Amino acid sequence: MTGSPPPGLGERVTAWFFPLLPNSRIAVLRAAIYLFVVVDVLVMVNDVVPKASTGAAFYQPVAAARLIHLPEPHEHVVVALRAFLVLAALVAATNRLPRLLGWPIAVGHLIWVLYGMSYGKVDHDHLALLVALFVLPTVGRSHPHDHRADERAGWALRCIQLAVVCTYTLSVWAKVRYGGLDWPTGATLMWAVERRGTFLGEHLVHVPDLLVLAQWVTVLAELAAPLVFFLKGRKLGLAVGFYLSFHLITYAVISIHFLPLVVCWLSFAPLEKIGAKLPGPRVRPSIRRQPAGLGAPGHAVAISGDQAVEAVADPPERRDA
Amino acid sequence: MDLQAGAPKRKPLSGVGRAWRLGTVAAAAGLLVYGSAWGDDDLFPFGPMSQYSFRIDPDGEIRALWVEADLADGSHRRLDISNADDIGVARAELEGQLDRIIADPARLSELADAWARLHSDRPELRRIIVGQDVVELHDGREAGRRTDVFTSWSAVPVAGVNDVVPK
Repeated sequence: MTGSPPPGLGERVTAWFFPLLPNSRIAVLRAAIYLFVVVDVLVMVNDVVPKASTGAAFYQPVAAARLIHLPEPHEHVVVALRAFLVLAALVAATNRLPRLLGWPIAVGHLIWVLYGMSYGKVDHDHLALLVALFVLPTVGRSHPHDHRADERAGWALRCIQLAVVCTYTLSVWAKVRYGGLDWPTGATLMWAVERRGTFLGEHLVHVPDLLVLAQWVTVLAELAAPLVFFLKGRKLGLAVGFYLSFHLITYAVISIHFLPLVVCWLSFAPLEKIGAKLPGPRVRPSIRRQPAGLGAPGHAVAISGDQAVEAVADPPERRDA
Repeated sequence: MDLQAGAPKRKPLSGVGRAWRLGTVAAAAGLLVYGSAWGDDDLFPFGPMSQYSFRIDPDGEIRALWVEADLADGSHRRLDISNADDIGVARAELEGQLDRIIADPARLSELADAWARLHSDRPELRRIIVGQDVVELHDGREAGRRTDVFTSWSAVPVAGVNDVVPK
C-alpha cells in the first residue's frame, strides 16, 4: 500500500465491506454453521413440534410471520420442515449445492424460528445465525482448499461479524431504553440468579457487590464489542476468547447460553487453516502453516476480518463459473 | 486493502453485485435501528436486544412463581415450570395468565389434565396450589423472604386457600 495515494472515504468503506478473504474460510464456516442448524432445530428451538401439537390457542404470530401470511403451525408440516432442515443442513455442511440447498435452508430455518418465537417468548440469540444462513448462499461455491481471495466470502463474513457485534451493542441500547442509565446498579443479575440460578449462581446472592460489578463488566463489554474490528491476530483471538468466556460464565451462573451467537464468532477466526489441513485434492503449498497458530511476521495470511490474504494456491480448476 | 499484486483472486464482484449487497446491509441496519428505538419483541428478528434489559430496584422484590401439587398417592411436590414438560406450560405463560387464574382457580384443572395427558404413568394431581416466593431486597442484599400463596384448586372440594402453606 505504501507509495500509492491514500484511497478516498468511499473506497475505504467499500473495501471494508468487501474484504479480500479466502474462499476456504467460508467452506469451513459453512460446515460449522449448517451442523449447528441441526443442533438449533433439535435442541435450541426444539419446542416447535410440541407447540404445534397443542393447537392454536397459544399461537401469537410475530410481525414477520403475519407479514408473510405464515399459516398456523400444523404438526405434520413442522415435522416435515424439521426433517428437511436436518437432512438438507447435513448435506450443505459438506459444501455441496451451496445455493440450491442454502436458500431453502435459510428460508426454512427462518420459518422454524418464527414459529418458535410466536408463543409469547422471543429469544435474542438468533440474529447472527439468521444472517449467516442468508449470506452463505450468496458466496456460491466454496472449497476448503480454495484459498483465493474472494470478495463474496469477504462480504458474507463481514455481515456475520456485524450481526455478532450488533447483538452486544444493541443490547446496551435496550438496557438504557428499558432499564435506564442506572441499569448496572440495579439487582437484575440477583433476580436472574434467584429465579434460575445454578448451583454456582446460588452462592453469588451473598455477594451482591460482585453481581453489580458483573453488571458493569457486562455493559462495558457489550459496548466495547465493535472494537474487535480494530484488532488483529493474537489480540483479536484474546478478545474473542474474552467474549466466549463471558458466555461460559453466564451459562455457569444463570444457565443462559446464547450458543447460536457463540457459533457465529467463528466468522472472526482464520478457519482457512482448518480447511488446509483437510484431506482432499491438495494443490501446491496451500496455506502457510505457522507454529504459533495466530499471526507471524512476514506472512500475509488471513488472520482477522480485516487482514487481506495472500492467496497462495490456484485450485486445479476454476470453481466459480 | 493490501492485497498482494498478482495474488490469485476469485472473479471480482460486478457493480450490481456490490450495490445490492451494500443495500441489503443498509436495509438490515435500518430495521435493527428502528427495532431498537421503537420496536418490541414482535419485530423479531429485528426487535430490541432486550434480554435482561429491565432493571430490578435494589430495594425492591424478586418474585418467582411456583406451582405445587398434592398427588393421588398422598405425596406433595413442586412442579417443574422451568419448561413445559411437567404441565404443558412454563413459567412465562403462567405468569402472563396469573390474574385470570386467581380470578378463576378452576382453570388450574387444565394443568391437572395436561399432567394426566403427559404423565399417564404417574399418580394424578388432586390439588394444585399457586404462589410466589418473594425475596425482599434492601440495598441489593436479601433482607427477607416470604411466601405468598395466591390460590388453589382441588379435584374434590376441600377447605380454603391458606390451609396448606408449603415449605
